[in-house]
Amino acid sequence: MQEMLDYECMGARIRYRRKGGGPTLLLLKNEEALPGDTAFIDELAKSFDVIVPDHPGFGLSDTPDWLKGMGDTAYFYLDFIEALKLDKLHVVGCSVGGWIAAEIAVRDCRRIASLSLLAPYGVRKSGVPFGDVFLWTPEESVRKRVCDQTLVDDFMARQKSKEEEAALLKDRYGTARLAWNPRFFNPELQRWLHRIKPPLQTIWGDQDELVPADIFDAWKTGLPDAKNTVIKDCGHLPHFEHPETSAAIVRRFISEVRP
Amino acid sequence: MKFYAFHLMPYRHLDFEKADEYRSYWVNLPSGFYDPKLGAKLYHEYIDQLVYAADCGFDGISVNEHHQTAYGLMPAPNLIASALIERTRGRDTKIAVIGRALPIAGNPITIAEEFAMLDNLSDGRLIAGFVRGIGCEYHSSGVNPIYSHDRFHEAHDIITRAWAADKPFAYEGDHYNINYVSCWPRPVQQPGPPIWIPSQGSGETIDWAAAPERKYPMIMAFSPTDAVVRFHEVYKAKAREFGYEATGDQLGWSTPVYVAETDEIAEREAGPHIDKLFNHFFHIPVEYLFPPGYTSVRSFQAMMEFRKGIGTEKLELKGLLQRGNCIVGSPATVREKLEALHARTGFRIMAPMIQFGTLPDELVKKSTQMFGEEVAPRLRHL
Repeated sequence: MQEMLDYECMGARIRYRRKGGGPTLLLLKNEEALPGDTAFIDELAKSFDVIVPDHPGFGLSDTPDWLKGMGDTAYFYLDFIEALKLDKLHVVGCSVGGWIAAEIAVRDCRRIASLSLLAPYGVRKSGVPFGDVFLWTPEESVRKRVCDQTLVDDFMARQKSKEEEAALLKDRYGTARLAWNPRFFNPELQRWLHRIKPPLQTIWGDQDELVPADIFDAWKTGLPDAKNTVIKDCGHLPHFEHPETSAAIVRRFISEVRP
Repeated sequence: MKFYAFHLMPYRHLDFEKADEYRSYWVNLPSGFYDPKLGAKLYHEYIDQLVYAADCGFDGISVNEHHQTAYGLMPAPNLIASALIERTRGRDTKIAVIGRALPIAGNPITIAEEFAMLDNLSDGRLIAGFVRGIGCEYHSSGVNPIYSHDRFHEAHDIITRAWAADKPFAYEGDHYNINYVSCWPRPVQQPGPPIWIPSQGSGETIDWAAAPERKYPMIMAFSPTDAVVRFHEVYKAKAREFGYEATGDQLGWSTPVYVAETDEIAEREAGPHIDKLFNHFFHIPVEYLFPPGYTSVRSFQAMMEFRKGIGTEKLELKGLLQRGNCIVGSPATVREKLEALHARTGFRIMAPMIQFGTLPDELVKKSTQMFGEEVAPRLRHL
């Protein structure tokens, strides 16, 4: 993976990586990264010029004073897309990253060619609650994300350094800033989903305990043409648990929509 | 030294064995555990205990706010304060609400108004406490803990300005925007009732409370003696940085206190109830107590280091007494411990929690009377 690049936005340093070649793809990450979480990126980089930012307030990016909620994150990315002169952009987002993708597109989708959202937050379905990640222990919060527990055994068994713990906490704080209230959704986004014009697909794990796959129905209400693929034996992180399958579904969708 | 009897009003009839099957006594413990017939009697019992403390010569009686928990039955402490005010009408007993949780309030003006009403009802006997609420309350209120400090400061500014103002003003904040802030009634004490800040020792809170334009007394709650000393010292050092000497009237301590005839009797009588407080009511998982943003990442990591043991392993009375998480003993022992802490920090506000855990009425009354007769009078000169 290429070294970190910097993008300056209103006094804040936002960091991103860029890898591969081909049509440009903006990958918006999930909120709590797990180690070894790069196979999906590597897979996509075989066909695309992949840009992977650390969201403002997450990872190695600054937590800017101007960041008060999801709206600021969405407008930041519109700036970012313009500044990097990205166009005909394929946007892929995982979990909170999927929510961010929708928030960008609902504001301005003129530079976006397609959207692939993996187990996205952002839209809720009455009677289908999200898992309360903020009440779970750190262990539960990792284990409930995946179906195949052996994928995280090493991570859970390993003693974390103080720096590593601080990094995990930063991501958790960043998540709360965007998603504490309303909890992981935005009623405004849900009302205006039809503003999203490019082709949109969702990909869900059938065992998702955080954002149950049934929530696709609510996306479908606002976006009747949205496509959905459910991956079997998969939890909340299809890109982590089934990177090749997930990347293949993204590639196929993009090849269908590309003019 | 001044003495303010403090009460949490726990639901002491809880089925502890069944409740222990839940993660915590907070946030999502089913309210089906609460029997309103028993609970209604408890309110009377607890109000009587606080009035009894006033009868026994305490300078003030005090309550606080907690939500959705068996730990304390006062989601609206001002209602209890109102009852206490009527029961002590005509006396000079202070009524301390320590405190209201400002950030989780939808509209801080209601807090300014209610406190102003209490100050009128009590003819100026109110002490107003401001807190952020504990982490659990961000889970139960839905308020984003990331903005806890910001909302606290904005609400504080609205309330204090509202008390002092004699005409409406506009408040422009990030979290609260109100075109016409105007407090009817105005408080009896001008520019407003005294403000106390109960704290667990967060650095941000100490700096803020000690600032010369505030000089708010900081009441250390639930902390072992060494931590109380450390945080009192931090407060004093901060005051010096600001260019003044903090007095003992700015330093307080609130902790469970039990007095009996001898140390042995006191420990025997208080033991099981201290256990209920520390090992049951206070069983709060980290995720409940410190939601993201409630403290800075650095404070969180420091706090975790400091809290090692609490809530994860059973705390024995002996260890709790050694560390000074509570004071239990004969009048002489209790006096000595308070004198010892006074010698170290000079604090002059003492808020003994007169009831804790499942401590039954007769023991609360006995201990309160002994404290009032044999402890407080001999420490007043401090």
